[in-house]
Amino acid sequence: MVKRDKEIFFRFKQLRNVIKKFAVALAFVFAFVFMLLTKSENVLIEKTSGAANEIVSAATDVLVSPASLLAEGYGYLRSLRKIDAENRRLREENRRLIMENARNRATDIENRLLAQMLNYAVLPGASFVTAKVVAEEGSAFAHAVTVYTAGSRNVRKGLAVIGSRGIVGRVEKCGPNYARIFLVNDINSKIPVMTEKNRVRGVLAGDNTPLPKMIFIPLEADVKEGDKIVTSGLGGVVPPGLPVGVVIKADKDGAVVRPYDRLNRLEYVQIVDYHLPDPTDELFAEGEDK
Amino acid sequence: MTESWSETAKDKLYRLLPLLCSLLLVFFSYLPLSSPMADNARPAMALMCAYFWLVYRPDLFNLGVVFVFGMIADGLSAAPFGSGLAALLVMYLLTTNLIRYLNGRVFVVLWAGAALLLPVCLLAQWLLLSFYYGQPLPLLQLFFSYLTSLACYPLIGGLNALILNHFLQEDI
Repeated sequence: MVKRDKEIFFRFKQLRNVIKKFAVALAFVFAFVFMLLTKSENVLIEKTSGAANEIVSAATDVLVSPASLLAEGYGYLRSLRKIDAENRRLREENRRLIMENARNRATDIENRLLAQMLNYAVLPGASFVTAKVVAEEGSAFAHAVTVYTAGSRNVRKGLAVIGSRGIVGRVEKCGPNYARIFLVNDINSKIPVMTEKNRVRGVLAGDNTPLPKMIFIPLEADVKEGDKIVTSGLGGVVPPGLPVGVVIKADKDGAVVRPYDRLNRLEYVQIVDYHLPDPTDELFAEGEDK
Repeated sequence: MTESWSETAKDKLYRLLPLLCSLLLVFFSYLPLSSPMADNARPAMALMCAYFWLVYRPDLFNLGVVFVFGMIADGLSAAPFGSGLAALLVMYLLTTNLIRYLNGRVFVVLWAGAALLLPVCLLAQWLLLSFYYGQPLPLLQLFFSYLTSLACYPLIGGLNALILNHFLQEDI
């Protein structure tokens, strides 16, 4: 009897070990299935992950805020050392900007008059939401920030996000209070751009390295170091002419672009809705009419 | 009756401490630090915490806990959902198979263990995501991330050890 019990116990232990091994394999299968579902952009997965993002972003915001305050305090104390030099620089910049502003106003009036004469279709006005960066992620696997949008309804997936100097990314996920933004150097980021001077078109693509690359440039195109890059407006989400960055290296594979904004120092960003019609929607509508 | 209920609740909370402590540290790893280093080579916090608890308390940081931890950590990350979980599972497999060489050893041995196991997990995730995106991800940043992880391990291990020594020394 005891021998039989021992045998049963041994069998049970063996079975438990097999199940244990199987559980690890099953866990791996789940991980791969999750990845595949993420790639398929399934609506259910999108909504579930959006809701999860909302919860974890709120938790991050709450947990990180004391540490954030400490970091800000330290930054403030450090900035006090340079405050005099900073003040002088800002006064000079302010003087320069006042003059530039006057010049720009004159150009704006002239531009509007010329547009009227040419009957130019003016782009609709933009609305924007200013959002605080609450979390950031930067590694070989992703470059993104999470921002607090305070329940704004004007935020939706795909909208352009600009920093203080130029475009920094696009909204990837948004919930009622938080949004995740893929920065321009993230591997998922693709923004249609062109060179400001020569109007050479390409796509600004991230590859998870610190700096994004302008790719799909025509072979004969003359893109060189120092060229300024702006959005081309193709795709219909981002209007043309938004500043992006400057070319720091160009070769036959593309051009490395340094964004105007320092992507690792974003504190506040603007999520901008240009109310541009989605060109694909119009194409579909035309197809349906036919 | 009340005492036994509170004892049970306390026991359950203590059992959850490794997961909660690891999650807290993962949350902190998303702190905006305004530094190029932090933006490109953040330490692999989830892997380090999992390694620590898998060595010291594998009974409390079992496969189920690793799975839940991986899911929450992936929910936080902008990387494709499931990739971090796969890396954690690799860490689980490696650590549970090598535990006899790691358990009860001095800190330097554990640090060396982390130095050996972390790159395997990071490379597994790198490989998986390179297939996912159809192009190789930058290896240099992965290497820097590994280096910062190694440099941060004494601190992360120390913080986790505080929890271990204060709350989990008794046999729960």
